[in-house]
Amino acid sequence: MKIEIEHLNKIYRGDVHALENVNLSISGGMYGLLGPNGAGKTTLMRILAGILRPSGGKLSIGGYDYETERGRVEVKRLLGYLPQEMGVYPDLNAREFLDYVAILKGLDDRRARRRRVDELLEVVSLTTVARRKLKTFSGGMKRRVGIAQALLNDPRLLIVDEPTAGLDPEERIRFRNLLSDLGGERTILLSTHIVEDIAQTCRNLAILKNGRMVFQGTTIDLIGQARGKVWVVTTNGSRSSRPAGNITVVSTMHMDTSVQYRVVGELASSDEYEAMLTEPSLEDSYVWLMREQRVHHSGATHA
Amino acid sequence: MSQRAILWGVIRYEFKMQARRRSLWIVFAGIALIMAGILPGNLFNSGEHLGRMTLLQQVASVTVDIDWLPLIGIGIFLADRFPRERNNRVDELFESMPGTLNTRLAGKYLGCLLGTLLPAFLAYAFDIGLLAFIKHTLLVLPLSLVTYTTIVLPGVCFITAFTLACTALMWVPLYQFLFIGYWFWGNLLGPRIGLPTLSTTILTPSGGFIGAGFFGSVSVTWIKGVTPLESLASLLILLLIPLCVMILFYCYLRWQQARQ
Repeated sequence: MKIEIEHLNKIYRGDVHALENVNLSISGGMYGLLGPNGAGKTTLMRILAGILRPSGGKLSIGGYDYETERGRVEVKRLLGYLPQEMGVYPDLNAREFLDYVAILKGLDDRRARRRRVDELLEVVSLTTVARRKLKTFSGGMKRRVGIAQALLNDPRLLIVDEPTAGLDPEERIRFRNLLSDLGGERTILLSTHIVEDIAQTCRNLAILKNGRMVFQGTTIDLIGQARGKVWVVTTNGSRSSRPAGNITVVSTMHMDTSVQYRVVGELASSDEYEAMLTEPSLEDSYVWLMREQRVHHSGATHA
Repeated sequence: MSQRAILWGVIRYEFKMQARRRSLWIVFAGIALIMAGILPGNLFNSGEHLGRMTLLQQVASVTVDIDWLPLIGIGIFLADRFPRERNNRVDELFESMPGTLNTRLAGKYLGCLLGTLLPAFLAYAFDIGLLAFIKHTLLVLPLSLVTYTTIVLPGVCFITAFTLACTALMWVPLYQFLFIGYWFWGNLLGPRIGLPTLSTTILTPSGGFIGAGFFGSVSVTWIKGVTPLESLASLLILLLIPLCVMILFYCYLRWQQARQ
C-alpha cells in the first residue's frame, strides 16, 4: 500500500510547528520512523491514522485522497492503528474489548467476528486470560491486546507508535518478531525512538528531527554515512586518558584494568589511548546523523 | 459495513458497561426502599383526593411522587460516561476507526440511557408492585407502564443529553453538584418560596406538568389547571431539547477535532 506525503505541515495552537514541509514516499513492507522525543513522529502517525488534520500539504494513502472525508473513511477501513498510549475499558475483559473494537471496525458478522477475535487472542498468547478484566492486565499484556485490536480487520496498513515502550526485553523481542512476521503481507509503519527496534525489523527508514525530515533511505545507506567515524577507544581508565576530539560517546564499558569507549566523530590522536576504527551500527549512525544535524543547525544559526 | 450495525454494537456495549456497575444497583435498590417507605404515607396523606380519583390518576400521581429521586440518580450515574473515553484513552483509538462520530455518539447516548434506566425502572417496578398490593389490583401494572413512559422517559432523555454534553466541558463532580442544585431549583422548588423557578413551566423535566395535564395527577401542588395540550407541549419540548443538545454537542466535538 503506497503512502505519498508531500509538503506536509502541522501547526498546533500557539504557533507550534510540529511538522514542517515533510515529504515521504513509502511503498510497502516494514518502514521505520525514527527520531528523538518531540521530533513530530506521533503527530505524523496521528495524521496518517486520520485523527489529526494537517495544516497544509498533500497526503494520499493507497490512492485515496486524505483531504476528503470519504478518502479518510476508506483509509480507516484498511487501517490498523496502535497508538503510543493505548487505553482500554478496564471493566471489559479482553474478548469483549476486542469484540467491541471489531464492531467499530465494521466486522458485522457475529460468527466471523468471534472467530477473528479467538484467532488473534491465540496470536498474541492471551487465550487463557481472555475472560479476565483488562484492569488486571500488566502493561505488556495490554500492549498485546493493542496489537490484537490493530489486526482485527486484517489491515493493509498497520501504524504502530512506540510499540515497545515500557516492555521488558523478552516482551520487546516477542513483539518485534510478531511485527516482522506481519510485515511480509502489508505496509507497517513503525515509529520509535529505540534504534534497535528499527535495526532488527526495517530495511527502510526515515528520521525526523524538530518536525523536519532529515533522512530517508535504507538502513544500509544510513550506516554508510557513518562509516569511518566510529571508533572503539581503549584507555587505562584515568581521567587524563579519556578520548578527546569532536566526538560523542555512544557507550562506556568498564573492564578489569581498562575502560572501553565507543565514540562517534572526529577523534583526536593521543598516546593516552588506543583507538580502532570499527564498523558502525545503526545506533552509531543515528548518533552521527543527529550530531551532524546539530552542527549544521548551529552553523546556520551562527551564520 | 454499515453504520447501523456499528450503532447497535455501541448501544450494546455501552449498555453492558453501565448496567454492570455494582454501585448503580446498590443506589437504586436503596432508592426503591426509600420510596417504598414513603409510598404508603403519600397514599394516606392524599387519601381524600385519592378517593375521588380514577386508578390511572392515582398511578400517575404515585409515578410523579416516586420518581424525582431516581431521576437525580440517573443524572449522577451518567456523569462519568463521556469523560471516561478520554480518561481511559480510548478516544484516540476509536477515532482511527471507520465508525463515524455521530454513530458513536448516538450509540453512547442510547446505550448509557438504557443501562442507567434498567435499575431505575426496576426500582420503580418494585414500588409499583407495592402499590398494586395496597390497591389489590393488577391493573396498576399496565397503567404504570403508560405513566412511566409518558411522565418519566422524556425527563430521562432530557437529563441524558445534558449530562453527556455538559461533562465534556465540566469536571464531573462539579457537574454532579450543579445538577443536584438544578434539580431541586428547577423541579422541586414551589413558587411560594419567592425565587424564580422553572418548576411551574413546561420546561420542568420531573414530569409534574405532563402528569397533571394528561392524567390529572395531583402530586405537584403548585401545578394546577394544566390542559392536555400544555402537557403535550411539555412532552415534545422535553424530547426536542435533548435532540438539539445532542446535535450541538456533535458539532462542538467536530469543531474541537478540526482545531486539534
